[in-house]
Amino acid sequence: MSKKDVIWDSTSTGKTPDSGIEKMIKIRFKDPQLPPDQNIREKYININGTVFQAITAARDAFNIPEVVPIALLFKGRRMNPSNNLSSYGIEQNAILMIVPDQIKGG
Amino acid sequence: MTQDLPSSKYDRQERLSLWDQHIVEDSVILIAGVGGTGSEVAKNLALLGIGGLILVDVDTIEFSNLNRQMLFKEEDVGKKKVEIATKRIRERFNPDIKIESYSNLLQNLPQRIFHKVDIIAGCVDNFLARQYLNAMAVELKIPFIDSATDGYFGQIQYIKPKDTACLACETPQPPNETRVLTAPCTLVGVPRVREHCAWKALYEFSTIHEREPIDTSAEDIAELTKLANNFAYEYNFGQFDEKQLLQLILFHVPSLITVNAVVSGLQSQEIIKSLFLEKKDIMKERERKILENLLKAHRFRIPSFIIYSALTGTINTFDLVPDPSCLVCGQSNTVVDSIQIVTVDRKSRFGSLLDTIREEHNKDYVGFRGNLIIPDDGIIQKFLSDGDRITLSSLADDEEIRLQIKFLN
Repeated sequence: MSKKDVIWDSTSTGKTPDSGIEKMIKIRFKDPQLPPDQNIREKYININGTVFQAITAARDAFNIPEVVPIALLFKGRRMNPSNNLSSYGIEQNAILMIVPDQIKGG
Repeated sequence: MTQDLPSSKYDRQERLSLWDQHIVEDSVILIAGVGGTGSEVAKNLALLGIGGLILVDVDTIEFSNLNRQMLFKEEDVGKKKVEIATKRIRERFNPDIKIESYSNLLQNLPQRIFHKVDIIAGCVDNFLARQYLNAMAVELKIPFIDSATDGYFGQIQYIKPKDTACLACETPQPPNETRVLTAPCTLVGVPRVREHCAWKALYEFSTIHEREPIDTSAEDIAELTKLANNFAYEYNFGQFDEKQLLQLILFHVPSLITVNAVVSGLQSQEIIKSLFLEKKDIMKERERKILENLLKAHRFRIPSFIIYSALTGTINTFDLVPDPSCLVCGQSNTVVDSIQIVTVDRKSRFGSLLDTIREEHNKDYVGFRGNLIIPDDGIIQKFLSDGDRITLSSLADDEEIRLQIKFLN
């Protein structure tokens, strides 16, 4: 898979039902569980989309199956899946860190 | 010969630069949850010579605990975890340690217990207990080091109230099986979704038998399923089978002793480091200077988030930033501020307090301490202690009022 896959719908009218105008920016997902030379993958995502959509893109970038819950960190902040990406002030080339989610046993 | 023996059992760790055994011996750690991780943390801290432990766990020992919870033996199955843990820690690891044990739900633990604690170690197995500990730590400004494991993965989060992110920052979504949990009054009120029938059944079971159902007991599961299906029938929801009910209510996370051991080792180490940091000013002068130099050179730090993967053999650390709008630790402090302190006569009936609230809000409320209903006609001191927190739940709309009880002198 190319490192620069574009995640959008080619039949898109330019608007998404939940987030308005599509504005694609390049971001970098980092999965720290992988060796340093393999742990960053680039994707284009809709900055007006939700964090949940970014999580889907991160899964796609690293082939992480749905059954593994993951969350994203941006500059040390855990991102709420329901929030819009734009609310975190994410810009071109931002690094979103992939961390496991919903770990709760004891 | 005896002259060659080290003078202290802790000789080897006392040889470490920075180490101040007096700090360790003068400290009290509350361990919430004495399961796979909690029993390892208790063992580690006892062997390190910690002064006191407060153990809290409502569970009893199950046969499936024995492959990883080394404080327990086969003959202990069915007994209270905290009681056996207290006994074994004293017998095997540290006879001098002071241990208080509470076989209670965390939510039922009087607040005064937290006041004697230097650090809270979270080793619980569910989202709600973790969030409760988090709110208490933030409110009382006690450092909180939480751990969690799930199969091959583990994590440790260090919460220094107001300095680091807390567990509620960015309100991570509760896991699937707890999403169905709503206000406590759903347990006695009308179920709005099918899953509520299962929770009502669990509540009913606990009320009838004064214990939780045992997941290996075919009788218990059959009775629980029958109760849930009665509610489901009454409120026009689909029926449950036993497997569905087990998954829904008695959800058990996969667990590995090796992951528990790594995570509890990391957690114990961060607890000791946090003690040194918190008590830096009373450390021996030499050790304090070493710590200050290490801090200056960024060679001593407590990462706010550690992740361990047994599959890739990696340990990653992150510094989490607090969310300014967090409901628990943020500027609004909605959760902490929402707790009202009410002064009551300990000999009065609980109903008299409820009547005042009912009149004020023009709604009917039920009082809960944890998941237990406080009877209207009950004498307050029989059910509550000074400093207890209770929840009043509106039967009309699930609105909750959180109160902290203060006894009149």
